[in-house]
Formats: sequence, C-alpha cells, structure tokens
Amino acid sequence: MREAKKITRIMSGTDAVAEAVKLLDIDVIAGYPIRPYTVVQNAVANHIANGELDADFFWADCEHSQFEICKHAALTGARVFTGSSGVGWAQGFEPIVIIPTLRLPMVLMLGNRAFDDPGTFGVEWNDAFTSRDLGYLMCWPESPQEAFDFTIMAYKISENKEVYLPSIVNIEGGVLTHVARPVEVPSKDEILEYVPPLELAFRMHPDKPMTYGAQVDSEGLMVLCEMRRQAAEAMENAKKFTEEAHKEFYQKWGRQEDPYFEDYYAGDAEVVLFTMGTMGWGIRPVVRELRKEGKKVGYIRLKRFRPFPDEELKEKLAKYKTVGICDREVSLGAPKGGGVIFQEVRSSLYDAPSRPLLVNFYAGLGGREVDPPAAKEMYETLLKIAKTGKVEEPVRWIGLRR
Amino acid sequence: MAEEYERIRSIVEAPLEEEYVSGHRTSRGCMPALAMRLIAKAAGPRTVIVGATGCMYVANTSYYTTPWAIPWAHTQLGAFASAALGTAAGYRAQMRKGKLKKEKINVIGIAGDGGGGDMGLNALSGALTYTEYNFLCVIYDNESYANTGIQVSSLTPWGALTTFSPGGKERFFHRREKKNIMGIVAAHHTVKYIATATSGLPVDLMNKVRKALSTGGPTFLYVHTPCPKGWEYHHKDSRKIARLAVETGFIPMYEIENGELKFTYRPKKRKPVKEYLKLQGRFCQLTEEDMDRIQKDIDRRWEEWIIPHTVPIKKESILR
Repeated sequence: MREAKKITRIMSGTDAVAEAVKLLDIDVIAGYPIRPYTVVQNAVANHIANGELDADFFWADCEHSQFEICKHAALTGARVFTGSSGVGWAQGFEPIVIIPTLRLPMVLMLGNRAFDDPGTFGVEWNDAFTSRDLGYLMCWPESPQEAFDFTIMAYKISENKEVYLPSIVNIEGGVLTHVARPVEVPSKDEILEYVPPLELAFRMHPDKPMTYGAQVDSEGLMVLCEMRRQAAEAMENAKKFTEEAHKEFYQKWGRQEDPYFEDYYAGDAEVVLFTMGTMGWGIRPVVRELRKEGKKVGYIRLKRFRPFPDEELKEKLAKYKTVGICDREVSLGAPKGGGVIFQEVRSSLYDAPSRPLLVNFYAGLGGREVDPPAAKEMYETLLKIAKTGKVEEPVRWIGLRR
Repeated sequence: MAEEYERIRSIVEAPLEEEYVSGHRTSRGCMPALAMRLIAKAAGPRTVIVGATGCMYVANTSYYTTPWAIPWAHTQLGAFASAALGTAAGYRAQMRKGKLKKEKINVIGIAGDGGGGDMGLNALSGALTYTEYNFLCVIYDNESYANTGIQVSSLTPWGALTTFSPGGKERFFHRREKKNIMGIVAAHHTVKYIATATSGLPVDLMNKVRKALSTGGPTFLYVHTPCPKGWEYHHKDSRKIARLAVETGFIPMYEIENGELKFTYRPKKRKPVKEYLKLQGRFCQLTEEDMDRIQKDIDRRWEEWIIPHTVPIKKESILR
C-alpha cells in the first residue's frame, strides 16, 4: 500500500520552489519583478495571502534593496528567501557579492536568463556564472521535483555551521520555471525534521554585541587573507555535507541518491554529451533513437556546479572516447573560445591518467530549444571524432541560423 | 501618538554610559563621530545599528578596534534604509513566530550625505513606506564623500571646493545647489517623525533620537555634521561652525511630528552667512557677490517658501 503521507501534485519548477519555501517556514522574503523570477514570487505571495505561510514579505524598490533587506534579515537569524534573473541579478550584485563574505546561510533562486541587450526572456547561464567564484553553492535542477528537492537540501547544507555559505538554486528561465510536472511533496513536519530551525551562531542581537563587516587592513592584522581561507575550508566542508544531505534525503524519500550526476545510457557508451539543467529534455529521445541503431551514445547531467565534483568527474569521464560539453552561455575570449563548463571540465581532467577527447557545443543560447535535430547533430559530431580520433573544431555552435 | 520618551533636559542629565567608545580613527573635531556617540548614547544598549559605507565605516569601524559597544553591521553604500528595514523585519518576524524573545530593539540605519542622499535615495524612499516596521534612518551630512577624500555629493553646497571641484585658474565649477533632502523625506506622509539636528546642539540631537525611536514606524533624522578635514577649518572651530550653520539659517532646526511642524531653534535675527562661510577654506574662492548670492538664497528659503526650508513653493502662490 502507498504511504499515506505522499502527496503528488502537478507543479512548475517555480511552484515547486515556492512549495519548498512554504514548508521550510521562511521568515522574511523580498521580491522585485523580473521575468522569469517573478513567477516564484507570485507563488510565494499566494501562499502568504492564503495563510499557508507566515512570513514578512517585501516589494522592494529595486534588486539592490531586495537583497539588502534579506541579507540583513538573515543577519538577525531569520530564515529568508529571495532571488532574481538576468539583469536583475546584475542590479543586485553588490549585496550578492557580500552575502558569502558575511557567511550568511541564505538560499537564492536564480531564474536563469540571458543578459540584455537585446532584451530577451530566454535562458542562458551567464547570470549565474557572474557569481561562480564568490562562495555560493550552486545546483542546477532539471525537473520540478528536483527544484523542490534541491531547494530543501540547499537550506540544509547552507545552514550547517561547518558551511555557512549561501546557495543559489538555478532554475532555467522559461523552461523549468514554467513547465509543470508531477512533484511528490512530503509533509511540513518531515521537512522540518530534515532541515531543523536555523540557529545562526552569530545572530545580530543586543544580548551579544558584535561588529559585523568591520574594515580590515591588508598588512597589520591581515585578517582578510585568513577569512578567505576560512571560506575556502567551508567550501570544502560543503562537499562533504552535500553528500551527507543526499544520503539522508535518499534514505527518507528514496530520491536524489547521487549528488552530482545523472547517467542516461552512459554505462557502456563510447561517446557522451555532458551538460546541466534541462537540455536533456531534447537529448534523451535522441539517445534512445541512436541506441536502436546500435550506436553507443550516452548522456550525463551535472547536478551541482559548486562545489565542483572534481575527483568524481575525473573518474566518471576518463573511460569515454569522446565527451561533448554543452554550454548555455558564451565565455568570450576564454581558452579556445569555449564556455565555462568546458573550461571547468578541461581543468578537472588535466591530471587524469587518461583523458577523453573533448569538444564544446554552444547550444540553447538565449533559450533556443535544444531539440532532437540539434542533439543529433552533436552526437554525430562526437561519433565522427571518436572514429577519426581528431578534434578539428574544439568549439562548435549548434542551431545557428545562417 | 508618540510613546513617552525620557527627555534629557541638559547635558549633565545625559546617560553616563557610552555605546560608542574609543577605537575609531577620526580626526580631532570630527562632528560625524560626535553624532555617532550622541545617537548611540541616546538610543541606549538595546539598540542595533546598520551603517552604510562612508567615513563612519572606514575611519570609524576597524577590525579589532571597533568603537561600537552595541551591535553594528556594515551595509553597502546605498543600502542604509533597506538594511534597517531588513533588520527590523528579521526581528519582527522571528518575535511574532516565537523564534526570538519579544522585546523592543531599536534599529537605526545610518548613512552619510552621499550614501543617503545620492545612492541610497530610492532605498530610503521605499523603506519609508513600510509603516509596520520600527526603524530610524539617519543621514549625517558633512556635505561631501569624505571617506574617499572629499568629493562632491548632491548635498555639497554651491561653490564649495572639493577634490572633484578643485580650485584653479577658472571660476569654481561646483555650481550645483545643495539638495533639499528634508523636503524629499517630508513628502513621505507615512513617516510620523522627521527632524533636523546638528552635532553642535547635543541635547537637542539626543532628544530627537529618543523621540524618533519612541514614535515608531519608519522615522528620519537629518544631522548636520561639520568636517574639519573636508571643510578646511581648525578643529577647535567645529562647535562654532556647527552652531553658525544654525544661527545663520543655513541649516534650519525643526521637527515634523504627525504632520505638525515645529521649529526647535529659530534665530530671532539670522546672522550673516558670511560669518559661517569665512571660517571655512572650502569657500575661499567665493567673492563678495557669491556670498551675497548665498545670503539671498537663505533669505528666500526662510521668507518666501510656504514651509521655510522644506517645501519650495512660494507662499503667495497658494493665496492666488
């Protein structure tokens, strides 16, 4: 018999995040409208309006204020939720860079969106990659269920005293933000057992007066170097606690066993496509089709980008002949002109005993659909490279209209 | 209506306890530092402060030598009001939900004229509309970006020399008028208490802090704070200059409480502004005509505006 507690509902990725926010008993929320982030704020506002969530909700005057409101509410020990998209993220960037240096365990949702100009609502990952070096834990869910699960886990990992670094839950804009699928929702009690109430160790309160963010000098006390080092250690800890969080999550709800990867026909494959987010929606049917033709193709999805699963990735990718890496953003002027994921994977594999051939695909830019023909084009390229053993063009643009 | 607040009748009645002590690195005669001390003293130990980047952060709040005996957090240059609002919200939500002991905690957001009057203006305007939250926003005005080395802000007076408006062979090029920040804040009818004050009148300043905090909701205080370094005068003249700013009518002293305006210091006869200007090196380029221009502007503000120094609408235009 099915467990009585399990409730399955149809939700979009943002509805799922809002559902997690509701169950996590968030105290303070601030929003500022920008598509596609707006939809999560709408959903959270509905929860409050219906009396399902008791939180102080702010309609900020801009993203800068939005993040400042939440940052300082978090400093009082409140559990907060906020986020943005694209150029809105850029507008709020000043507090965004401060949140990890203050070691605040906040969780932000980033509805990934290409930067203007030209104005667009389509997804790219550049808004997230502005923040990749700042000290955020970053994950890229693929389905509404994962959006829910990863939001819950983000609070658990970030709020760990050994971590105290913020998280960004990346929900691909226009794709996962809006597309609805079934989501299994545990009870609030179960969630709060998994993520206990936040007891911030350095809460700003008159009972324990402290000065936060005092000016330091580089030579005299040199605390800035030491603080950077502490944050680096916290990021190392984050990896351990991410794995623990997944283990506990899997034991409780039977999902999310692997913290870093999802394999699809990857076990015996010769060539694989490697990417994050929702691109697999168009890739998986092509894998099945090519498998019917006897071609050994597979697909691997990276679920978490920070902390980067360096050693695991090395182990994972070493056995393939050719790996194609899809980037949904352009990194202008980077080595080979390749994207951010490409650079990270190349760097990870540098000291591997054996390395696959790598090729980078710019795919799905500006939200252009990575449809089966696009996926097919990428697999054909990979199979050709596997056969010839030569990468003539390390970076290719997919779906480009000429 | 405002709650009762404990009024300080004279400086000898002020609390002996200091919440802002040694450890800062401000110059002698620094009136912003005096304002910090008086604000913290008046607010007392159950207070938290969020301070924007500015001279009262960089010169004032250093690692290991913080002068703050009460909790103090840095916030970004344009964020004093949004940070104060967020702090107040954090306490309010947690106290309502039983996560924190219920008590009154004073929340004060402080910025300079640059952080508050330029960059933080939209955050201030937005925060002041949240009437359910109790916090006090303070702008201390030393009429320049002093932390970065005395640059023009929108509250720098006409004709003042700064490093962005230096003296030279040409006629001075800072020809912007000082922004009417009080008029802007006074337009926010959601604010039950706003006042001007100066480090030169400490008892008045402390009482205004207490009154603002006891009034509740978002409240606002403007504090005029001379800066010996930026204004180029001898530090022994700090108090004199602060008072002259009031006595010449250059900076008016008033409070607006629930829509009622009250002048807390009204000079019977305004001293000539020349006395104020001539003590300061930053005005050394001004000619007699320039000083007359400033004098006329002050007279106009006091005599022609429907609410002196606040609402720039001529009295007679209303009667028409």
